Amino acid sequence: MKIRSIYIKSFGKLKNLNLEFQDGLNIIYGSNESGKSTIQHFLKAMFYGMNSQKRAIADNERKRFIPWNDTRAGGQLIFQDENGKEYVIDRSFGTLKKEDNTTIYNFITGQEAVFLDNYQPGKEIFGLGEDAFEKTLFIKQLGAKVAMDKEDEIMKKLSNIQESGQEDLSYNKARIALENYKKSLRGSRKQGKLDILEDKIMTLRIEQQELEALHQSNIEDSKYLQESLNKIQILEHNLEQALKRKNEFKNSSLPSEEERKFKEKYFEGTIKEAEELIYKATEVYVIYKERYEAFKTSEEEGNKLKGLLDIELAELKHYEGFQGLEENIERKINTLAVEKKELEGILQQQSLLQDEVRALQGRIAYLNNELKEDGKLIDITTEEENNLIKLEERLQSLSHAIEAEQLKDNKEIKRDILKDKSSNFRFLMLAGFLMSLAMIYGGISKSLPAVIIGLVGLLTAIYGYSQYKKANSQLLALTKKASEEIELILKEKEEVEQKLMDLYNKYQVKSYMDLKTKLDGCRSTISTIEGIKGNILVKEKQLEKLKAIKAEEAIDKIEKYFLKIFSQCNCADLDDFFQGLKVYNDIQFTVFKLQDQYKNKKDEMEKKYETLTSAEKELKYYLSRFKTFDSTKDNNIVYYETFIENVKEVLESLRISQEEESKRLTNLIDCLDEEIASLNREITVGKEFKKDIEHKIETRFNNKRELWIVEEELEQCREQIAKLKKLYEASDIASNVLEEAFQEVQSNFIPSLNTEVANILAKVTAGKYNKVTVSPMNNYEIKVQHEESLRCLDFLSGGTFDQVYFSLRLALCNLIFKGKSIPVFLDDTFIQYDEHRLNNVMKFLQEYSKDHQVMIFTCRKLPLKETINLDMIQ
Amino acid sequence: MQTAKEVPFGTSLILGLEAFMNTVKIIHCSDFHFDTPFKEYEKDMAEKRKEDLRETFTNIIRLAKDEGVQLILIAGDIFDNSTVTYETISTMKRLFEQAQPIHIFISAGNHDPLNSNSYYKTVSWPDNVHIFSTDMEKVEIEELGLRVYGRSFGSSYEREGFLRNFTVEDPAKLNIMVLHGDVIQGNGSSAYNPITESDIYNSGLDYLALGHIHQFSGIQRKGNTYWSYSGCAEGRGFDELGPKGIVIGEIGKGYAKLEFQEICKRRIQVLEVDISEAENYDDIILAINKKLGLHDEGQDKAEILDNIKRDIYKIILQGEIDEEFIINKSVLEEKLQENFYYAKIVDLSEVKIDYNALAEEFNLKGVFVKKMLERISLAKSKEEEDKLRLALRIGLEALDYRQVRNHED
Repeated sequence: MKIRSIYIKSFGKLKNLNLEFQDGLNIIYGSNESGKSTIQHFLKAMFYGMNSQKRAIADNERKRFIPWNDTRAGGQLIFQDENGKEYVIDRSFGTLKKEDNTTIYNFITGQEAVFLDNYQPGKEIFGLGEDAFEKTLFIKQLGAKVAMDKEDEIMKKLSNIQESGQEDLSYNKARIALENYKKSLRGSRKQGKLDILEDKIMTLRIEQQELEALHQSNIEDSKYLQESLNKIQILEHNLEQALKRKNEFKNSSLPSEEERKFKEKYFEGTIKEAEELIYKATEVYVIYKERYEAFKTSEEEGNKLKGLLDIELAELKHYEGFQGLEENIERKINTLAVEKKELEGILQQQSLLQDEVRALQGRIAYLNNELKEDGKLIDITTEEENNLIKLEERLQSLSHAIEAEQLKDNKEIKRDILKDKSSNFRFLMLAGFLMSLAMIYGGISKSLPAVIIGLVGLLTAIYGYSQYKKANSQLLALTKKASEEIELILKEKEEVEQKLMDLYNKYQVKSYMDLKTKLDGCRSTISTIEGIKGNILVKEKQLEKLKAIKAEEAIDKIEKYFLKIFSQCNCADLDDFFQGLKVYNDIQFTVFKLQDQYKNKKDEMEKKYETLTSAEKELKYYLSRFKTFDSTKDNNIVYYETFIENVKEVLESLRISQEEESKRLTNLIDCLDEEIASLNREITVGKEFKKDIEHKIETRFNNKRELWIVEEELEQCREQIAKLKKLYEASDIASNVLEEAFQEVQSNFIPSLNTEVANILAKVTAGKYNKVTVSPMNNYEIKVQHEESLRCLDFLSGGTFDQVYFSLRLALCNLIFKGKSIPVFLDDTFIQYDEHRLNNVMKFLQEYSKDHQVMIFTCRKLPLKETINLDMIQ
Repeated sequence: MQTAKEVPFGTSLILGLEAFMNTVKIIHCSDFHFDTPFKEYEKDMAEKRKEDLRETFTNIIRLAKDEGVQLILIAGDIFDNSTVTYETISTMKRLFEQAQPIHIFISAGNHDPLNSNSYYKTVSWPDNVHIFSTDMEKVEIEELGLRVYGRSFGSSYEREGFLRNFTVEDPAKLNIMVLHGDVIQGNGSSAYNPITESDIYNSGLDYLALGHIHQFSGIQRKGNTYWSYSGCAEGRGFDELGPKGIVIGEIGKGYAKLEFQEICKRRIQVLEVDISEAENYDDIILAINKKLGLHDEGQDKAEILDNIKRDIYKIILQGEIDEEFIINKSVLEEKLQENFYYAKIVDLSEVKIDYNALAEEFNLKGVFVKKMLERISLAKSKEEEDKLRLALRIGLEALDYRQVRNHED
C-alpha cells in the first residue's frame, strides 16, 4: 500500500496544500512551525478520523485543527492498494463527530469502497487500530520507546504471526479478563464474591451459633417447663387431696360412735335438738323445782301446822271439860261469880237490912203507935205491894219482851254462835275426812306418817262430826224454845194484866202509882212513921228484893253450877277454872288460829300443787322425748333431776368429745389450711415460673430468624462458595494454561523478533550491537548484548537508545506487515543521532525504502536531498 | 439363612379371612424432617414447603380419623432436634391430641434421637402418644390383642442392630414393631441400626414398620413377617422424587392388607430436556413442553397442566447450543412461571464448539484449547473433568470476549 498524494483543503493552518508522495523514500523538510506535524495529523485523521475527546487543545484534534476562520477542516488522500487500485479518501470534519463527512471511492471508477470502514478505514488498510498504528508505523521523535498499546494489537499481531494474523486473539486481554474475573471472586481488598460469601458465612455462623444457643436454651427451658408442669401437677394433686380431706373433715356429719350410741339409746333427733330440749327441760325443771320446793315448804309448814294443831288438839283433850262449855262461859262464870259475890253481898246486905229493918220496925212499931190513920192502906203488905210492883214490872218486862227485837237479838246471837260453831265443826270434819284419805294413801303406800296423819284426820273428823251435830241440835232447840217463850210471855202478860186489874180493884187504885200516891198521901200524913216505915219498907223492899233474888238459892245454884263446871272441868276452884279456861281458850284460840293457818296453807298447797303439776307436765313433755325417760315416775324430782343431769352429763361428755373431735378437726383443718395455702402459693409461684418460661420460649426467637432458615442460607452460601471456588480454580487453571499457551506461542515469535531487531540494529549501528532480547510482555523492554553481557538500555546513550527503539519499531513493522508494503512514518527520529549514525540509518532507509514507502518528517537537513520542502511551498 | 417362603396372594387372603377376627388398622409413616433446611430452594419457597409438610402431616392425622385407623406408627426422623422450632412441636402435640383415641407410636430416629435434650422428653405428650425408650420396649393393647414393640435411637448413630436376636414373646398375639433403621443386604453394615433380612425373618413379628429410607419400599415379606419403609410423606429435595405418602391398611396374624397411599401435597419431579439447536427461549419452552408430553396426542394435557401447576420441577437443560445464545435462567424461569407452580432451571447445556478443530490451529487460542483438552483427557475424576471443562470455557470466553461470563448461577 502506498500513499499517492494528499490534498489539504483546510486543516489547521494549512490550506489548499497539495502534496504528492513517491513510492520509496520521502523526506519532508520544513523548519519549525512549517506544518510537519499538521501534515502528520492530517494523514492520521484521514485514516482514523478525529477521536480525541480531550479538552486540552494540544491533545484535541478538532480544537487544534479546525481553522478559526472556517467551521470545517478537511481534504483528500489518494492511496494505492496492494493490487494497484487507487482510492480517494475525502473527509471533512465539523466541530462534532456527527458533523464529519467521509467518502472513500475508487479513484478511477468513483465507486465507493464499501469494504472499508467509513470512519476508520485505517483499520482495514493497515490491519491496525489507531493506537497500534501510532506505535508501529508512526515513529515519533524521542518517542521511539514502545509502550504496550491499549488494545494490545501489537502483541496480538506478533502472537498470531504464524497464522496470517486473521485471529483477533489477545493474550493480554484474556489474561486481564481472567485476572479480573478471579479478582471478582476473590479480591485483594476482600471485595470478591467469595470474600463476601465467606464474610457472610462468618456472620451466618455467628447467627447460627446464637440461634443454636437459643435453641438449646429453649430445649433447656422446655425441660424446665416440663418439670414445672409436673411439679404443678403434683402440687395440684396434693392440693386436691388436701381440699378433699378438708372437706371430709368439714362435712364429717357422720355421727361419732358416742353420738351414734347416744342416738340409739337416748334420742332420735340431732344432738343439737337434744341439747335444746334438755335446755328447755332444765329451764322447766328449775321452775318445777322451785315450785316443788315451794310446795314442799308449804307442805312442811302445813304439816308443822298440823303437828302443832295436833299437839294443841291433844292438849285440848286435857281440857275436854271445857269443850262442852258455853261460849260465854267465862263471862257467865264471871257473871255468876260476880253474881255470887253480889249475892253474897246481897246476903250480907240482907242481914244488914234485916238488922236495919228490925231496928226500924222497932222504930215503926214505935211510930205505929203514933200513927193509926190510913192504917188500912198501910196494912198492905210489902209483899202485896211487891207483888203489884213485880207484876207491873213483869208486865212491863213482858211488854218489853214482846218487843221481839230485844228478844230476838238475844236469840240471834246465840244462834249465830251456834251456827258458827256448826260450820267450824263441819270444816273440822271435812279436814279430818281429807286427812283420813292420807291414811288410805298411807295404807296403799305403806307410809307410816301418812297413816298417822290419816288417823288424826279420822279422829278429827269424828270429833268434828259430833260437835257439829251437837251444835245443830242446840240450834234447833234454841229456835223451838224461842217460839214457845213468845206464847208463854203473851199468856203470862194476860195473866199479869188480870192479876193487876184484880189488885187495882182490891186497892181501889188505878195503878200502883195511884196506890203509891195514896200511900204517899198517907205517908205524907204520917211523917216520921211513914218515913221510917218507908225506910223500913225500902229496906224491907230492898231486903225483899234481895230475898227475892233468893241469893242463897242462887248462890247454891251457882255453886252447884260451879261445882258441876268444876267437876266437868276438873277444877278445884274458880281460879283454877279460870286458869284452865284461859289455857283452854288459849289453846282453843291457837287451835283456831292453827286451823285457820292450816286451812290457808292447804289452799296454798293446793294451788302450789296445781302449778307444780303443770310444771311437771311440761317437764315430762320434754323429758318424755328421750327414750330412757320413764314417764310413769310421777312427781319424782330426784328422778327428774337425775335424769336431766344424766342426759346433760351424756350430752356434755358428747359435747366434750365432739368439741375435742372438732378441735382436733379444727387443728387438722388449720394444718390443712396452712398446707393448702402453702400449696397454693407454691402453685402460684410454679405457674408464674411456668408462664415466665413459656414467655421466654415464645419470645426467645422474636425478631430472630429461624435456625433452619439460617442453616439453609448457610448451606446455600457454602454451596455457592464451593461453586465459586470451583470457578475460581477453573479460571486459575484457564489463566495458567493460557499463559502456558502464550509462552508456547511466544516461543515462536520472540526469537524472530529478536533476530529482526538485531538485524536492523546491526545495520544502523554498523554492527556495534548485533544481539538483543525483547520482552513484549514487559512493554517491549529491550536488553542489548554489549561486550558479552545483556545490558539494559538505560545504560546506553540517548542516541543508542533511539537506535534500538527505531530498530524495534521497524522490526515490529516488518514482522507484523510481513510481506506487505505499508508506509512508515518517521518524525524527526534521528535528532539525537550523530553524523555517523545518521549516515548509517540513512543508508539503511535507502535500502529499506526499496520495498517500503518511507516518509521522514524532519526539520534538519539530512545527508539526502529532501523530496518536499514545506518552507519552499509556503 | 432360610429364605422367606413366598405366600401366594390367595393364601394370604384366606389367612386374612381366618384372622379376620383380630385385625388392626394402621397408618405407617416416617421421616417428616420438620424444620430441616431446604437448601435447594429460595427462602420463600422453603417456607412454602415447610407449610406443605405441616399440611401433609395434618392430612395424615385427618385420614387416620376418617379411615378409623387404630394405630399410627411413626418410624422416626419426625424432626431435626437441633433445628426444630418450639412452635412445630406445639403444633404436633395439638394434632396428636386431636387424633385421640388413636394410639400413636413413635420410635425416634437418627435425626431426632431420644437424648436428654430431646423434645420427646422435654415436652409432655398426650396420653395417646407412646414414644419408645432407647431400650426395646413393648406396649400391650389388650382390647386389640396387640403388642407394639419399638426402640428409639439414643444418639445420631446406632451401630448395633436393634432387631438382632429379637423374637416376640407371645407369637399368639398380634405383634407389630416400629423402628428407624437401615435394612442391609448380606454382610453390609450401617451406622443407623442395621437390620438384616434374617433379623426380620427370625423376629416373629407380624409387621415391621420402618423409617429412614425416604422411598417407599413396597410391602415386603420375610418368613411370616411383613415389613416396609413407608418413605417420607412429602419429598424434600430433588433427590426425593415422585409420589410420597404413607402405608395404610389392616394387619392380622400372618396377614397384611397394606398399601401405599400417596398423600404428599406436591411431587418433586426432575425433567431432563435436550435443547440442542435451540436458538431462543421459545425453542427451550417448546422442548420442555415436548418433554412433558404436551405435544403427544395420547397424553391428557389437562392432567399434565394440573401436575405442573401443582408439582415442583427441576428442569435440567442439556445439549449444545449456539455460543451466541446465552441463557439467562431468571428470564426462562419467569417465562415458565405461567404454567409451572415452581420450576428450577439447571443449565447444563454446552456451547456448540468444535474444540478439536480449534486445537488444530496454531495460535494462542488453538494452543490453549489443545493444552486444556490434554488436561481433560488426563482428568482423574468427573469432578476434575468438570472443573477443567469449566476452565476451558472460561479461558475461551476470556480470549473471545475479553471477559468471563457469569457462571455463578
